[in-house]
Amino acid sequence: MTVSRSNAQANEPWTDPEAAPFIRLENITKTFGEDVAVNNVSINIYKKELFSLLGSSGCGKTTLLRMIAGFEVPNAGRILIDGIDMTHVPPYERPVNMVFQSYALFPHMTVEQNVAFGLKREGLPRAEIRDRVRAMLDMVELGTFAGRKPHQMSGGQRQRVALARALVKLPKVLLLDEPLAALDKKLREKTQFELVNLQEKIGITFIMVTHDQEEAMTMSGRIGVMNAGSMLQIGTPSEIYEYPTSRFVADFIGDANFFEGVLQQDTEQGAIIHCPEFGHTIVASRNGLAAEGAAVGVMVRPEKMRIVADDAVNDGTNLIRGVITDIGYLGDMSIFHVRLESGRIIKTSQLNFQHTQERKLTWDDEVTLSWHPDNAVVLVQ
Amino acid sequence: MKPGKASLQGRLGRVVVLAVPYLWMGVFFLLPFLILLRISFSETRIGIPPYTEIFNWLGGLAFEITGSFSNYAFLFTDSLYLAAYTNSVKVAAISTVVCLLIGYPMALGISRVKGNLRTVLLMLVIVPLWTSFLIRVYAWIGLLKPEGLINAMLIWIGVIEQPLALLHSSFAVYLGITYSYLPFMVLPLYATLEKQDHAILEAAADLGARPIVTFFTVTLPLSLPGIIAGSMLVFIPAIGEFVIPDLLGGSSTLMIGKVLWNEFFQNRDWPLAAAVAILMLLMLIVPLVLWQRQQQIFEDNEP
Repeated sequence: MTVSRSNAQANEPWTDPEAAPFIRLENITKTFGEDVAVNNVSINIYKKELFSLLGSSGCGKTTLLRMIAGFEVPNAGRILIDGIDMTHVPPYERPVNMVFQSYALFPHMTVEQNVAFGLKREGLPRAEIRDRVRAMLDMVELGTFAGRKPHQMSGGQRQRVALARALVKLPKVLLLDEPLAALDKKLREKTQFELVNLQEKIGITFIMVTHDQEEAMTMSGRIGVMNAGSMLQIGTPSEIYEYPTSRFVADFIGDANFFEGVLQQDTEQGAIIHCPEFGHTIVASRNGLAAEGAAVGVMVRPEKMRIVADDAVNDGTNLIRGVITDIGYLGDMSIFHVRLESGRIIKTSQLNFQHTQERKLTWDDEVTLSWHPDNAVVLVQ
Repeated sequence: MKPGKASLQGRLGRVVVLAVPYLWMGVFFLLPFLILLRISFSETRIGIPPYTEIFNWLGGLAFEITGSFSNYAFLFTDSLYLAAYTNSVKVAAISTVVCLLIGYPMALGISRVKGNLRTVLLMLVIVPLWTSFLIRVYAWIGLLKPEGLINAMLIWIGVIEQPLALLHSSFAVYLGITYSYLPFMVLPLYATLEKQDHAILEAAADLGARPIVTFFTVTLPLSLPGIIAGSMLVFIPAIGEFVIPDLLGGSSTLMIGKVLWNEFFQNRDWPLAAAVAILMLLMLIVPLVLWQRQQQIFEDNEP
C-alpha cells in the first residue's frame, strides 16, 4: 500500500538513536474548559519526514496541528522546532506554514496575489517575489491561472493554490489539515502521489492530519494514531498495520478479528494462548510484554487467514471450524463471513486467483480457517 | 399535469409575485414623484392648491402645457440653496465618516465575541431604535442645553465655570446625526464581518501577517460591501435630515431638509419646494447608482 519511497530503508532516522529530531512535541496537553483535547502527547519528528496524525474526528489531531502552527497554546508541554522553543511564539513568527482544510484562500486576491502574500510580509524585493511566485505556480502547474480569482477555480486547483501559497515561504515544516478531504476519490488518489513526490523533491518536513486511514497508509513515512486526545501508537504504516499495540489501533486500521484468551507461554517460537472459545490453544507471534497467565487478545487480519473446505487436508496450526454465512464478492477479492461453532461471526478474505466457476466455496459450506503463528498478534490493551 | 398548463400557472404566479413590489413602488414612490415633478414646473398662487395647473384642457384632445423651469433657475440664482445643498453634503459626509470610525470597531468587536455576549451587544445597538426617534433627539436637548446634564457635570467637576454653548451648534447636529444613524452603520458592517471565514485570518497570520497587517490586507478589503452599504444608509438619509438640524442646530446650520420645510410650510411656495426636493433626489441618485454598481461587482466576485 505504501508508495515506494526511493530510499525508504536508509531514511528511517527514528530507528537511529543518535539522530536529533527536527520537531519535538514534549508532553503536550491542551484542554478546552472541561474537555481534554490533547492529553500528554510526545512526538519526535525528523527532518524530511512525512508524518501523519490519524484518528477519527474529535481525537485531538487537529488541535495538535493547530498548536504546532501556533493557533492554540498548550496548557502544558513544549513545542520545539529545529531546536528552538516555539510554544509561545505567535503564528506569524513561526517557520511553519499550513494548508487549511477549507484552503482559506483570500477571495479578494488573484492566485498570484495569494501566493505572493507570505513573501510580501517578509519584505522581499518585488522582483524576487515575482520570480518565486512564478516558479511555485509552475511547479504546481498553475502557471496559466495566475490572474484568476479563487472562486473561478476547481477544488483541485484551489488545493494546489493553497499548497503553493504555503510552500513558497519555504517553511521548515508544512502542516496539512485534511488537505485532500474536499477532493473527489479519483482526484484524491492522484493528488496523494503528487504530494508525496513533491515532498520528496523539495525535502520539506510534512505533518499531515487525516481521518482517512488509507490516505495515511499511502502517503506517510510514519503515522501517529490518536484516540480521545491520547497518542496510541507511532510507527510506519506496516508496523501499525501488522503489529498494532492496542485493540483500538488494530480495529481502526483495516479489518481485524479478535480472539480472547489467557497467555500460557511466550517463547521465541511464539505465544501460546488458551482460548476458551475453542477449548484449545492457539499460537501467535511472540509478544514479550505480557506476563504468562495474563488475559490477552489475539488479533488476526482477515487476509492473513486461509480458508479451505472442511474436507480438504489442512495440516496448519491454529485450526478453527465454521460455516460460511455470507460472501462479499469485490472482484479482486472475496470476503467470507464465517460463523464459528461459538456462534460468533468473523471475517476472512481471499484473493480471487481463479475464475468464479473454479472456486468451490459457497454459502453454508463447512470450512476450516487457519493462520500462521507469525500472522497473529497478541494484544494486551 | 400538462406542461402547458403548469408553465402558464407558473408564469401567472411569477407575474403576481413580481407585481406586488412594482405596484408598491408605483403607488408610493413613482406616483408621488410624478406629482412632485408636476408641481415643480408650476407657479405659486394663493389658493388651494397653492400652485397653478400646468396641464390645461382646451377641449377635445388638445392640451396646453404652461410649465416653466423658473423654479429650478431660481435655485441656482439664490446662493442660499446652493449653500444649503453643499452644507448638507458636508454634514452628511462628515457624519458618515464619524459613524464609520465609531461603528467599525463596534461591529468588529461584536463579530469577534461569542455566544450570549454577542447577542447582548447586538441588542444594545438595536434597542435604542425601539424608542421614538424624536424622543431620542429631544433627550439630547436635555443633555446638551446650558443647564443640561453635560454642562452641569462639567461645572460640578470644575472643568468649566460657564456652561458651554453645546446646543444649537453644528457640533450638536453632527452629534445628533452620528448618534441617530450609528446603528445603520454598525448592522451592515456586522453582517459582513460576522460571515468572514475565521480560517482566512488564521491563514494570513500563518503566512506571517501581524494582526494589524491582517486587518488592512484581509479584513478591511473583504468588508468593503458592508462599509459601502453602511455608508449609504447613513449618508442618504443624513443629507435630507430635517428634525436633527431643526431641534439641535442653530440658525447658522443650513441644511436642505430645513430649507425644504421652510419653503413648504412657512413660505407656502410649493413649486419651489418641489424643485428643491427633485434636485435633492437627483443628487442622491448618483451615489445610489454607484453603490448598486459596486454591489454588482461584489456579487460577481462571489462564488
